Amino acid sequence: MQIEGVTIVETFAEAFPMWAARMVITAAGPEWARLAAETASGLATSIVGCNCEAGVDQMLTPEQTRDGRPGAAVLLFAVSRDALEAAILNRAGQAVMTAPTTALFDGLSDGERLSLGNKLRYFGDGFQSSKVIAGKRYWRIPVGDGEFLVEENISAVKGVGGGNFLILGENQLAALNAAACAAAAVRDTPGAIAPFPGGICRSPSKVGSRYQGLRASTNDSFCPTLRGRSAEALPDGCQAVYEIVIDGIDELAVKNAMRAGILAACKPGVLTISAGNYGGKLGPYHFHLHELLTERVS
Amino acid sequence: MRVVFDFQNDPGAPFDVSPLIPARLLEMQLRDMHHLELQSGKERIPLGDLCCIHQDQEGDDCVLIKGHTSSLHRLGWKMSAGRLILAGNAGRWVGAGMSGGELFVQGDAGDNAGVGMSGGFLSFSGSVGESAGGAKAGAQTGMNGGVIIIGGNAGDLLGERMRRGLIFCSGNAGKLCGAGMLAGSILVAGRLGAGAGLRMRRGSIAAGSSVPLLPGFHKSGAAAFGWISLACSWLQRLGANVPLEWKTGCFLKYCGHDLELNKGEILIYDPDQ
Repeated sequence: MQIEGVTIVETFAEAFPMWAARMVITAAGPEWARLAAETASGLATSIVGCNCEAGVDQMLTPEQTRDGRPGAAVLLFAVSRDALEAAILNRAGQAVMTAPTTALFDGLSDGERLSLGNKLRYFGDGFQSSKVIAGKRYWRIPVGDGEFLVEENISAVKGVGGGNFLILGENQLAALNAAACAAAAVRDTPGAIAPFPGGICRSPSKVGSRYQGLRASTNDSFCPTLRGRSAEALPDGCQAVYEIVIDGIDELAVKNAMRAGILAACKPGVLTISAGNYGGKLGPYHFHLHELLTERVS
Repeated sequence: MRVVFDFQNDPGAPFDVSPLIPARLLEMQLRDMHHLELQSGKERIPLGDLCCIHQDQEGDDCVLIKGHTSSLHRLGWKMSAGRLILAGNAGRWVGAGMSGGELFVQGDAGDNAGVGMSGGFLSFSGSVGESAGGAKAGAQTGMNGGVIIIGGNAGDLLGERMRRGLIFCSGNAGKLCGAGMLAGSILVAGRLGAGAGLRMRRGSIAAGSSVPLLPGFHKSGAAAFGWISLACSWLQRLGANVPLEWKTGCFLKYCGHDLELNKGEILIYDPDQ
């Protein structure tokens, strides 16, 4: 398959179930909401080395938030329910509560209930209080600029992690430009995030290593400077590879984000778009690139 | 289906209309409704002698009462579900003891509206008398859940001994608003009368302004409160005429009452901050 002169390899991305939650952070202004959201999703690129994978899903207008203030939605993914709860508590306590003027809400309407304000409230050291509004309990924790309002619980659902595609370019500049366009398209897709810096991963990994104790190592098949020794997956003339990794609140969100990202990445200087998988043996979700690009957009 | 009770003539005497509960009426045949008896003093009078009753298919399932309605008391008494609309003024005890459903009064109401309610939604486009959302005489607690929205003013003892729930008043509140309050929230867009929060233990009263507060309340800083933004946004979606400036505005906080736990708060909107 060719799109705008770019070859789409007939392969698939292999993805895994992950627990997902959506935090909605509101603040006095959109910049404070964005800063809190970006801080809360910091160092959350991959569960290989982070306690969760996270990213800003979308910025929200006052009409889209419960308290009528500008906000930002953050998606967080972890391998287990407990790991997700621990990561959320940590990030909410250290990155959201500490950010000026913020309040924190559950961004999903249903799912399993994880503790949020219910545990964070103890930071109030006995001065905390609660309010029930519209059937939900919120905790009011006294802080330096007034009160930090946080919802008692946050919902967790079974999401999808590890959707991906690889952009193989003639040179670094062309590949990076295409990857940046792809990452922007993923950012614009609701319910999905690309958790790596700027949405782009320049070090695609494979499972395991020749060294004991390492869970992942460089995916030598996609390293252009290993051409001749490894790198047999690269087409002739390919000098740079970037990976876009996508986590989504459900399978459809990942599909939509992958489709939007791949179409945005078909730029001059891109030779091929491929995807990473483990032969279909590890993850239950298989996103076939050709199917994605030919089926009706949902 | 909609059931309409049209009180075309003034009943003349106060009537207890507590049997007019949506969940019950919507399952009754029209002829049975005519025989439903309402009490006035010692007399019991069939409903068919007091009003015209008809059914139609307009809108969602609801019960509509209209006409001369000022002498109808105990409307929605202990109702737990359904939708009841009163197009006109209500008597006393509207929505008292209700635990669910929606009751809309398109006019004013007398005393004791929503007294002892534990859930549901009670809305008045006009003003209400004394003890709205308050406690029955001798009861330890007043309102214990649900929402009351008052489009006009509220009389004395609004939310007296309230334990849970939310009351919003677009106008002014009378004396002793939130007296003996145990928890819950009262928002008064206008002015609080004297004695607000007397002996309150916990809970919140927010107001646009107030007469001087009781000596048992002490200044406790100022801030924009997230829960007020949240409550205002929600009330706005419910159709309440909330002051938009409250969503981001600053409130002066007074904690009290110091004769009790000192964990209650009165928040007065500060337009200068």
